[in-house]
This record gives sequence, C-alpha cells and structure tokens, in this order.
Amino acid sequence: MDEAELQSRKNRGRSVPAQADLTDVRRAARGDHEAFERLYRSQVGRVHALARRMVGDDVAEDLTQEVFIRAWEKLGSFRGEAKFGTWLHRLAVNHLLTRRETLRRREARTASGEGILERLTAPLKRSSAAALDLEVAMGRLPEGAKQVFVLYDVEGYGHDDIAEFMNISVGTSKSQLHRARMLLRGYLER
Amino acid sequence: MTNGHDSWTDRLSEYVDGELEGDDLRGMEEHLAGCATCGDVLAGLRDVKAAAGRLGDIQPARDLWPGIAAGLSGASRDVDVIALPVGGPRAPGRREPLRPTGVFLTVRQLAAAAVVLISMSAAATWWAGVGVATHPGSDVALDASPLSPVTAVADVPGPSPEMAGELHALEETLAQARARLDPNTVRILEKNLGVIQRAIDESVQALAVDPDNAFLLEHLQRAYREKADFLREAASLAEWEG
Repeated sequence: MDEAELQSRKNRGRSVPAQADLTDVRRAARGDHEAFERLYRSQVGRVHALARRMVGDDVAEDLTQEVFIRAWEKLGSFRGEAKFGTWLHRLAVNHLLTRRETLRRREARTASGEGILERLTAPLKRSSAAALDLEVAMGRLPEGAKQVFVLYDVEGYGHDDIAEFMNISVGTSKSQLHRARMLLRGYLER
Repeated sequence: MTNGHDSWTDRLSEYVDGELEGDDLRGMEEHLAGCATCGDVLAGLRDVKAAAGRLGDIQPARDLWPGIAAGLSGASRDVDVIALPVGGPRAPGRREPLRPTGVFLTVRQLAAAAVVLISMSAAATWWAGVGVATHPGSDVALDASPLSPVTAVADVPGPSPEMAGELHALEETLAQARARLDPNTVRILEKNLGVIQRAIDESVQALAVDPDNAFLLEHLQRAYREKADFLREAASLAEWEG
C-alpha cells in the first residue's frame, strides 16, 4: 500500500476541511462545547465504526462516548501537526485497545484460536448463501486477528503502527493479518 | 501438499500487500505459476482485502452527543492545573499573603471542592450573609440540598446511603470551617462550582431522557465518588486554612 493510498484510506469519509477542524479544535480547547460538538458530528461515524469492529456492537456506543470525552480531556495535547481526525483516530485506537482488555477479562469469553474455523463456518452453513456479511464475519474472528485486520485492511495502518498500538512484534501483526484474511476468505466464498 | 507449498501459502498476504522483494518475490511468483490452489487462495485474499477497503463509516443508532455533553463538564483537562494558595498552619489572626506552596489541585479537584463550599450553604442567601442555613440531620434532608439535586428527579439514582451520610458529615465540618477559609480560595472554588454542577445537572437531564443508558449511569456514579473524594480533600484544606 503506497503512501497516497494509505492517506486516502485514512481520510475516507472525511468531508470537513482540515482548517475548519483546526478552528473548532482551538475553540473547543478553550471550552467551547458547540465547537466540540461540530467535531463530534464530523468524526462520530468513523469512531463508532472503529469501536464496533474492534470491540463489538454491544459496547460500541458507550465506548464511542468515552473516546470523545477522552479527546476533550486531551485536546490540550493536540498540536496540529496532524489532522484532527488522524489524531482522534489514534487516540480512539489506543483507548479501544485498552478498554478491550478490560472487557475481555470481565466477560471471560475470549475466542481462542482453537475451534475458530468451526465457529465461523457452522452458523454460515445454516444461513443463506447470499448472506455474505463481512461485518458479521469480522465480529467472529479471534480477538488479535480481528484487531489487526481492522487496523490494517479497514483503517489503513501499517504493521509498524499496529505493532506499537498492540505491543506485539511486526511479525505477529503480519501473521495475525494473514490468519484473519484466510478465515474471512472462507466466509466470503460461501 | 508439501511443506514448501505451505510456506508459500503462509506468505500470500505479504505478496498481496506488496511486501515481498528479491528472491522471495521471484520464488512466490514461480510457485504461483504452477500452483492452482495457491492461485485460488490468492484471489480470495485479494477479495477480502478489497471488501474491507470498501467498508465505510457507521453512524450510531442514536445521537450520542447528549451523553458526551454531560461528560464534558465533569471531565478533567489534563493540562489545566491551577496553583491554589494552600499553605500550612499560620499564626492565629494573621493573614498570610497568597503564595503557591507546592500544593496543586487540578481543575477537576477545584471544581469538586467548589461543590463543597456551595453545598455548605443551603441557599444563595448564605453567600449574602443573610444567615447560615443548617443542614437537616438526615439523609432524606440531604437529598433536598443543593449537594444532591439529582435525587429530585424520579428514577435517577442518588449516592448510596453510606456515601450520603459521609457527605453530610463532611458538609457539617466544612460549614463550621468556612469562615476561616481564605477569601481568594473561596473565590477560586466558587468560580469552579458551575463546572461540576453542570456535569451533574446534564447527567440528570440526559438520564431523564435515557434512563437505561449505562454510560450515563456510570458517569453519574463516578461523579458521586469523585465528589466524596474531593469533599475529603476540601475538609483537609479547611483544616490547613484554619
């Protein structure tokens, strides 16, 4: 993936000009709730999608709210070197990965690698052949593979970034990505 | 299938992503030229990657802004720290000049402590010197004070009975010490009152509309806990100032 494609992917869905964002960021940093609400409205779809795909539909809305409150708290650290959306997205990834750990421990229903193929395929055999829902399939991936797949193939991060986000090696990131794609390939071909 | 075949299959994603170079790239292309199975897998992986790239944003099913707005007022800004002139004990009857002494409270702490001062009064007349209102000595009465406005709204949970009792005891302690607090300290704390009060009010308003919102409920309970923490700090502050 070249740099232009990466930027294009990361900026997908961004319709608010960067300058407008920056003006609102400055206002919000001074305590302007209305300015922050405009930032929220411009970014919520992307953050919420990330939360749904990385952590799950059941907690995505709560976590989306947490991300924006965290962003409000951290606005003072935004220096404008990157676009606000990029800064917010990285903050969201870090927050979601941290919260994912908490939720995973709490729920104790982690999908281990064992038997994942059976879990992925069994319901699908009962569903219609037309039900090729990548979002659903992503939700059934093992945790590590899911996070890497979302960050790399959906969000456009590189393996170096993902390794840093998740505190794993680049090699592990690559192997998790391949694992996720292989599992999803089986799903899409049905 | 051979082990050699598997080793190429395992690297197909790297090939899809253009990460193979030199001998690895040539070896992969030679293998693909003669392996229909890997060719099929490669096509599938490319389909997955392409499908993922087409996924777009997802708007939440409901407007999350009211809950976020409620959370903003009570959130702390990491970089906002105000030096509060809190010194050690001073000689009776002597006013020390204001100076930072190494004790700092964050805006959130100040805001919470502001609630302490305001809650020491049962009405605005307290500030005007009309008279010092006293707090009824029961948890029920506490619920009706400005300290716990949320309890005036049906179905919105208030603090636990234990916490309400502690809040009440601290209020009484601080009410007795309030006159000894430095006016500038009072001013700073009072200035920040609106911050935490707004957080509570907005949480209550949001919960009135969406009473089952787990985020809001947790936010409100967290506010109660923080309030109790800062009440304790404010009591210590009053002791220092006294």
